[in-house]
Amino acid sequence: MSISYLRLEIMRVLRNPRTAIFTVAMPALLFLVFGNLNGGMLANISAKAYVMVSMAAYGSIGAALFSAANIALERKLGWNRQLRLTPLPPLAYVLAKGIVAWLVTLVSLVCVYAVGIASGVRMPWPQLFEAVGATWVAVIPFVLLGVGIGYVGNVDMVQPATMFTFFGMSILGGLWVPVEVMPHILRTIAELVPSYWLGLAGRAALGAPGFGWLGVLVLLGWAALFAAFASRRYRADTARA
Amino acid sequence: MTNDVYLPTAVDAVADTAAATGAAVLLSGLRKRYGPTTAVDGVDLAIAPGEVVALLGPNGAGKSTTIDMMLGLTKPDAGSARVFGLGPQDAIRAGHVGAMLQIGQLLPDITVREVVALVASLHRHPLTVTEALQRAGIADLARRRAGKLSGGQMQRVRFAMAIVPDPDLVVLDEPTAGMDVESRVAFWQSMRRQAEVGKTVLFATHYLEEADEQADRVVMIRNGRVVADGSTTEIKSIVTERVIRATLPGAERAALQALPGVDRVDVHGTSVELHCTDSDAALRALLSAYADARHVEVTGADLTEAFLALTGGEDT
Repeated sequence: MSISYLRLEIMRVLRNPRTAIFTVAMPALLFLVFGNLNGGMLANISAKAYVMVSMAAYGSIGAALFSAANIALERKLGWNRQLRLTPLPPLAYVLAKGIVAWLVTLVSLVCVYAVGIASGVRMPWPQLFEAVGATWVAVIPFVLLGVGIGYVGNVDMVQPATMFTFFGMSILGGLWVPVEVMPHILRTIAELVPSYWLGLAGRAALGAPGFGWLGVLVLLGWAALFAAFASRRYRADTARA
Repeated sequence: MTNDVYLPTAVDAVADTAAATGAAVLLSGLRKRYGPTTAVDGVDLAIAPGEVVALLGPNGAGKSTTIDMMLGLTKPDAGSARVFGLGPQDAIRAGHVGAMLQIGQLLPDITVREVVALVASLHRHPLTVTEALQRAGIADLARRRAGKLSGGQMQRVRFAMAIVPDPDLVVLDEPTAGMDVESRVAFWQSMRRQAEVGKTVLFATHYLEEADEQADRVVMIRNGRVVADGSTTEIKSIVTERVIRATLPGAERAALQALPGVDRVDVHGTSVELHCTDSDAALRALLSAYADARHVEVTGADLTEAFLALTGGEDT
């Protein structure tokens, strides 16, 4: 890990906030559009809280995949080659990218929750903190996936690959349409993808049933898979540089 | 030290000499193939500390691949590269080497000062950022973002990045590519300052004038092999041909060609050029046969001719 490199990356995000703001503000806006529900319960929590958690999870995936486009672009520039002329270990670069993406997910989560609370979601504070914390930890597999995608092919391929993953995961995992109203077959599929468990991690903190050890195990499994994918792609790329 | 099996070869002789003198760079039997193309075909090279060496050769001669292997960016198929006795990556980590390559852009959204400061922060005993910027002649660009630099300015920023670790060896691959004349002059001034304080400098170039003017020693490389290695004077003397130029109206080419010691004749209007194997004999014969010859001059081969002779006249 290199603190100076991480600091540079954070400074870059703060200096060019346009992409980050879009990533962070979009889910909060979507919540304002779709979360305007009064009354109604879904999976043991209020429908409004349900949509808030789902939009936060959806937004956190987008933010987690944030690093992919940057990594691909910097590979194209040859910046990594420049870095290899310095003592910076190549892994420190990847770590900095992952950590920054993970920090952006937290900002994104807090934004959706803040908008949710402002627009009338009522939950005890400890539960809200737990929900944010659980989602933030559960999004780690997607941070790893984002790094991996950044090392797949060229810049032109990475953009659509990111979008495809982002929307595909969100729809399959029931972040747009709740699994509770899905046909049985889709619900079965939902339980296989990490985004379902990402949404459930947040809902569980608010009192929805069904996460438990199984959720932890599934997410750990996906994290291991995405980590292996990212490390393979990264190694292949570093050998070429 | 490694425990490799040692076979007594010429390479070892190079290695022994260099090890005894503490070489800054020691390349032994470096080879690299890319598919059917052999980019580097057995390069042996020892550079002593404090030398300023030009790696000269036409495009595609294997200069960049040799440098990439010297810096650990490319793994050689055979042979080894040592920098101050260390493997390339270790030498970089220890701050012994600063390098400036052809490929590799800077992040467009960070400033010159920031990128140089980043490199400095990764080393243990760097120059101050201000010092590095001054030596590279870009103190006035400190606050400019990398995306707003001209090609020549960008090269000088990369030079600042190469020297900010305060390395003992600076490796520059085609450093003046994309620079205008003014930047070029300024750049070589900065480079010479490095050499004056005893740093070792190795630069690749396909500009003969640069090698001639800037280097103490020229290593010519062609088709992945070292074809000549010596001081610029030595390299020039490889070509024994001398040229007599004179203004001589109305001379017959065939008559000139028949003079003793003349190998080849070029006639451009009233001026003639005699390429001679024995210029002394040719000059005596020329002056006795043509009393009206004026503006006579005899020159030795310049580096261009040596270069063309050694590299087989490929385009430079």
